[in-house]
Amino acid sequence: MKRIIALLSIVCVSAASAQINENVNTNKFRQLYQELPTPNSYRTAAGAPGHEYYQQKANYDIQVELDDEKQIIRGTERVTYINNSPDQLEYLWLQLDQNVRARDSDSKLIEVERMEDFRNLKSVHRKLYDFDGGFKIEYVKSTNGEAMKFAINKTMLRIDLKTPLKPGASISFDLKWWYNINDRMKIGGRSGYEYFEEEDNYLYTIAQWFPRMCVYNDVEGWQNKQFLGRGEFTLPFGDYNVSITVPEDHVVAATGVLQNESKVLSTEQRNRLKAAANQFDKPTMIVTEEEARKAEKNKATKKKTWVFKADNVRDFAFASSRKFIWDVMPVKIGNKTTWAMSYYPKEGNPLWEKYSTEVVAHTLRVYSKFTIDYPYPVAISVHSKAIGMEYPMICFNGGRPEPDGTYSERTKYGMLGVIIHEVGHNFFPMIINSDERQWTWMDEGLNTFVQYLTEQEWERGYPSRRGPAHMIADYMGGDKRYISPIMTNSESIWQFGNNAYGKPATALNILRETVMGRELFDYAFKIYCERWAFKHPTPADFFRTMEDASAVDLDWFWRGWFYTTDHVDISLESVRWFQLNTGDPEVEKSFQKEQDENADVHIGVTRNASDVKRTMTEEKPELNDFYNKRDIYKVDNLDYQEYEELKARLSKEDLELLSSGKHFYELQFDNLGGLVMPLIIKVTFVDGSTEVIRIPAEIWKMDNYHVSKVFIFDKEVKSFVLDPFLETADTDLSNNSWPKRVEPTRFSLFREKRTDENPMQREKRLQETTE
Amino acid sequence: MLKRLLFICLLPFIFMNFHEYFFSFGEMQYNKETQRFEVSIQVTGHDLEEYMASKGIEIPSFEECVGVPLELKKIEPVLQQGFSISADGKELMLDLIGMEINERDEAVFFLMSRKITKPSSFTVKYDLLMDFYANQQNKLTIYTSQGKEYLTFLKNRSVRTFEYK
Repeated sequence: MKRIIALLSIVCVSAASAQINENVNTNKFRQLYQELPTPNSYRTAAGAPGHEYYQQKANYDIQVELDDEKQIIRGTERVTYINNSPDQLEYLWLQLDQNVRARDSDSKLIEVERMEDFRNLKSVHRKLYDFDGGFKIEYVKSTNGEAMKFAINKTMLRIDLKTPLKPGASISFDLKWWYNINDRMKIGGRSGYEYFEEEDNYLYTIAQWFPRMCVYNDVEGWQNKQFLGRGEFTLPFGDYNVSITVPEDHVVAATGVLQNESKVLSTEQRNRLKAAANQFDKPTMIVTEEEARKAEKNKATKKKTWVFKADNVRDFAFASSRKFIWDVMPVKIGNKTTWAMSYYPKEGNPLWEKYSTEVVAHTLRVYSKFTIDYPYPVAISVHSKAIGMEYPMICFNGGRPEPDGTYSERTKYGMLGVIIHEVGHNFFPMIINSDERQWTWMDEGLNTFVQYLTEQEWERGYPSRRGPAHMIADYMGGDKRYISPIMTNSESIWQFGNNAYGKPATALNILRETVMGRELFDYAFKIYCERWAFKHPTPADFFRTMEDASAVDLDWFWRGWFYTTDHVDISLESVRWFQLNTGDPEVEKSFQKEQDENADVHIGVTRNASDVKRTMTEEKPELNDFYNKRDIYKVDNLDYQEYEELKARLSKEDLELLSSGKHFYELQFDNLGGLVMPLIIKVTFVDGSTEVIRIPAEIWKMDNYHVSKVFIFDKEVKSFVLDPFLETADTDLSNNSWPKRVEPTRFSLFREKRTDENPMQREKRLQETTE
Repeated sequence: MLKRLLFICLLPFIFMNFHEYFFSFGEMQYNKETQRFEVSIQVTGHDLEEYMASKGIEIPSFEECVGVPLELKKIEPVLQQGFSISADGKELMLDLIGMEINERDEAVFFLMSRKITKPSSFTVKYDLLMDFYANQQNKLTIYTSQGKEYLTFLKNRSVRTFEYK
């Protein structure tokens, strides 16, 4: 322990030079002006839609037939495109997403491969598999039947207009097309079919199935970046009327509201639906498992047409199978009632009948609380093996029990998690309609964040895979060449899942729990959702709204977490302990004596005590002088006199402070990972009591890498721990403690709890013991 | 030189299309007391199950493999092929001594080397699952007396050498 002689002296923390690297400002707290686009009349500096904000609209009338014999989709559509922009358009762009599976698709060509990838024949088969996918466009015509000039560039189709489409004008045109549906279980895909070989039945999940308008807006012009398979979809809102013709014994689930119940549902089914309208506390079966089992034994030869209408949606998807069990439950959201529904084959039970619709309803409630009230009339979860994929009002979800009806915990939680996630996508990006092709994180990251909140409201201790800060730490540390900043185009992201889902979700969680606090965060986040519901937000709109609605300058946070690959590794480098010098010679000299007596002694001195029998001055005491004889710990009159003089100079308050016995601790912190973060410090005192100190990240505002802070306590400190609640994603906890603590490895934890018996064997042993 | 490919199996596998995880995190350290390398490898459970199915290795679900030596013996060679350590030009034998699987679908496998004098450097090959998932990326944390060091492994960069400071 050391003492300082004078009263507290102010320690000036040296400001780090903010001007290194050729005199460019690299301070982590510099404003984001260079990174964000200049605000304008379309998008304001506050992050809201500007007074001239516009968006295009695309309405569709579609007739489609599902060929269950050949697994083909055939359709015609009339698109009505409304140009709300201030620009005249010489051409229109449509998306042909099915062309990602066309024979000349770039997607296979751009996959990096090694010979090791072909160690099994299946992978060779997959590479050689010749699937004739992709749209076959039969015509593009104007509504008067005249052929329109068009050009196809891979996954994009351009219609060249005879006369430019003027601002405020609209145009209608017709397309006819067909495509072979992909076997999703063989070649993958977000949609396709699953074949049930034993009974020769198909379950279709149909999406990206018709030529869809691209977005034209103030940010991208036409968003016609090719669909390469990863960066998802960017779509305008519109109204849909869709007629789906399927085998008579199929049950169809789709975006929107069924318009012709009387023609496609049985009287019994309609009666069940009617009764279900007042059954808010549990799902009602519309098609039972028994009925579905019966249906899958035969194949109807006739057909039925299901008609759906969906308003103000950005897409349309559907599922169809004779295998479907169907249950429903109404949910009150605000002043509206929405139908939560599930469609699943018997293979999904018992998990699906127990959980799916309940989870859909729960998701709508929790998301509505944090974002906006769910506005659509239905929300559907369809069981489709080994997938999770989202569309407006409908999503396709995995989570299949074993054939014997048992399931593991991870199957159960995997299923609950994927349903929450995919239903949650109704909000991001189906309603808060960001550009998925460009920025995956804007829908996946925000959605994963609210998914985490929803999971935690489903069950205490829910085993969420993403959200808590410490779960992203392993990903963020280490070699930065193979990690991408969140602000990276969807196609170029290393480690898509961690980067676009986990890291942004964690960042928002940290904002909510640690940087902003729940009240400020929740308000600002909800404002963002309200501002951009049914609109097209960009990253800047999100960043700006979160700051504008909270009065928290987050430029440093966005920069660090979204624009860099820096990670959090803040070390508690040193702790220095001080007490005030009282000036009282009795106290101070006695203290000094105690310190000297307890000081560490060099080994040579210890050994010499026995090895050197007699020193020279011991041999000849007469060689000792004043310095050998004086007692430096003795208090003399001069000491008393000087103490009295000191007291005379000090005020009463000063004297009380001097004798207070307060403990001063100077803590030094180093920012090793690059990300500046708040300092959360848990102090444990020798008497066992604790205190938590939270210091905002702005402590790093001058020197981004080295800071110190002095704390004054009445009690002696036993330990300091930095980030004690694992809330900053610190990648190295071994440098977070004083005294130093060893961070256990997974292996050492395993070794400690290692046992030769599994939980069931232990349970058996317990029962034997009890008996 | 023309090489012949050895095909491992003919059994079908299911192409997973859940949202991507595709990341394995390994940890290793040299234990001075036991004179062995201790390794833990965390991987997404369903990823590895699908991978093993593609290799024709029949095991029950991972939950049923925990603490069952017979099943662990089937998993061991897959891990040994996907993660290996060489020192002084020789590959170290790694034994699978246990595993854990949790409700988050995180499977963790614990491996231990035979006794070896601590080498001044070692080489790790960590391409587990990279021949199956195009986007698989693995990361290894090495605990040393100076703290943690990280190595990242990619499809075209699956062998890395580490030198103790």
